[in-house]
Amino acid sequence: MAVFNVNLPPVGPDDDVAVVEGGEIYSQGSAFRRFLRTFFENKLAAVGLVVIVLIVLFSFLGPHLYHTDQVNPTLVLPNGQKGPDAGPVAGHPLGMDTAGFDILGRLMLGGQISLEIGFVAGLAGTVIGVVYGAISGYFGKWLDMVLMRIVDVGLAFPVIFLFVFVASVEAPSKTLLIVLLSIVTWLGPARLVRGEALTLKTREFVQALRTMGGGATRAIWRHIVPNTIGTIVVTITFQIADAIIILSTLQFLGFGLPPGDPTWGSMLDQAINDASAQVNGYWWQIYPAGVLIVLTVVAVNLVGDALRDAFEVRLQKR
Amino acid sequence: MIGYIIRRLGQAVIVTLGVTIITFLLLSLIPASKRAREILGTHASGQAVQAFVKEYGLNRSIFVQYWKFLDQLLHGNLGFSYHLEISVDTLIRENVGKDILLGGVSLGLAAAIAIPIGIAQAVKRNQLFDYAGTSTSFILYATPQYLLGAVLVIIFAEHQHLVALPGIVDQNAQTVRGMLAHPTNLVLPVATLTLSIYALFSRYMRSSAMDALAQDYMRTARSKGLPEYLVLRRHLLRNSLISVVTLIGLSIPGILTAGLIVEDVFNYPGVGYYYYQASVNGDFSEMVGITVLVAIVTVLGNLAADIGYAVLDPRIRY
Repeated sequence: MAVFNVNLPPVGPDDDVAVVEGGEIYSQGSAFRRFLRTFFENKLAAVGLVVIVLIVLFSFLGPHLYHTDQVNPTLVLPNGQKGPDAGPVAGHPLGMDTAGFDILGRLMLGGQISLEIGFVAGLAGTVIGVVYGAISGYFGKWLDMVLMRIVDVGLAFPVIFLFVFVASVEAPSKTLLIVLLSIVTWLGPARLVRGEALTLKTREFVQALRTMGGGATRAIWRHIVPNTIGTIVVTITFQIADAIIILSTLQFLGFGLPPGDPTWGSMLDQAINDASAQVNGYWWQIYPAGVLIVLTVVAVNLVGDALRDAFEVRLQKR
Repeated sequence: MIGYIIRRLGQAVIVTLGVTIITFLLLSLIPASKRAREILGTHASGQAVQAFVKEYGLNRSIFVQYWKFLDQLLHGNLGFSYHLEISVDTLIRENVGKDILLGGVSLGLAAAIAIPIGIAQAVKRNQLFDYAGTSTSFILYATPQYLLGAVLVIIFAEHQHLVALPGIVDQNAQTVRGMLAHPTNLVLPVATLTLSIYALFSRYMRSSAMDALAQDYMRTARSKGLPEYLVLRRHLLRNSLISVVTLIGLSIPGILTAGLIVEDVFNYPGVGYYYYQASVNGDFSEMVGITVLVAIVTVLGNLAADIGYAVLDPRIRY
């Protein structure tokens, strides 16, 4: 799982694309069209994209079609049965949780919060990391040395340990979670972009800009960052996937949000507790939230892999 | 080479210092009175708290406090757990054996599975076996460890009664020897951690084997008439092992984090379990001690990976 992969070497573009020299001829098309073609040639990526769209629709559109009360728990069902921990009944296909909330409806609300935190944290972390890495790589020398040691410190600090520590000091909130997750997710992109900036700054177009008297800000914003766009987009996807997994693990470790803010992680944690305490015999209730987490992360990773291939110009057919 | 090792050691020392600074800053986020009450008890009088704060210098400037903290660490003093009433050093010494048992066995198993499968996937790429392997590792990677643990418990302990339920670890099992006397208790924790580590390794193994396959020495080995199995064993396997060394070194934070979660899921009394208990109890000194230790292990792991890489691969010269 990803809590970890920040530190690992990036996996190279997948293999073995046989470039048929002088063989197949494709219409040229714009760079963007070539990009799209390479992306969609990967069937799994298309599947991943569809899954992501479906999950977003489920979470954000679902509550408008499937109305449930996620504010006031249902203590007694219409048929007279006790609400909390009720199994599947008419109108509540997945049953109710321990507090008396409809599980299907809660999965939608939980999805909104999980996706929101995951996306914002992944995005924020990447933006910070890109700027940081570009500055470090561009200026080099002692500044690079200092900045990269800071990244090393961050990578040496086990993330879960950091969270557990902060959780015991501060009351968790959505904002705090996003800030903490961003603290974790910026490290990987910072390293990657710094590496690219190191080579980019020696390229002719940056040299030309310097000769013309262009400043560092312009070089970084107009030349270095735009040229790492491939890395950036790919990194964002992986950071989002990582953030979603870390988020769910945090809920399990007790870094829970207030009851009004359910996430898939907190629901999964609840379901596992119920299953191990054998509250109602519905051990399968761990699967809905669990499957949603796994599906989302797999789908985001599939898209990330395909994006990486699509940005790899060598793999594009011309 | 010697110069490289010295420079790398210097970096490791700086990073470790950085980790102690961050840990200390985190610790200083906690109000002095709260830390005093952690030790004196929640009902301590204001006067007693004042006296404690003064005695331990919690009202001194942050630099003086940090120096004291560092001084203790340098003398090998990781702090004292007032909840468990033993020093953190003792706590770690008594329990780290169980972590090494769990982590070592899982790491060994994961490597023993990931290496041959990665090579087989690279050799038979884009065939059914490769797709199956890739899908498995994607799904495992996307599954939070605690969910994996819960699913294994439900399948193998609750439904099949093949192994003991977690948490039924008797008192004899407080030592490594006790653990080994009841190996069935170890099956599920080891299986969960093995699969988690396998998920970390498998994708890198496949791509590194793929890289190795494309090398000139493979072509040379084949063209001199070496049978295929010898080509794979002598050239591919051996060269893939080099990347395993790096992978293990870099995965240490991931393995430790996964270990913490697995220990928590299965009530496995290792250092990770005590760390989690400390966070629940607000035992800050214990948490700080273990956090610093984990960071040092991580830094050493990275160091060992870099040096090991240089030693194993004679082409790498710094």
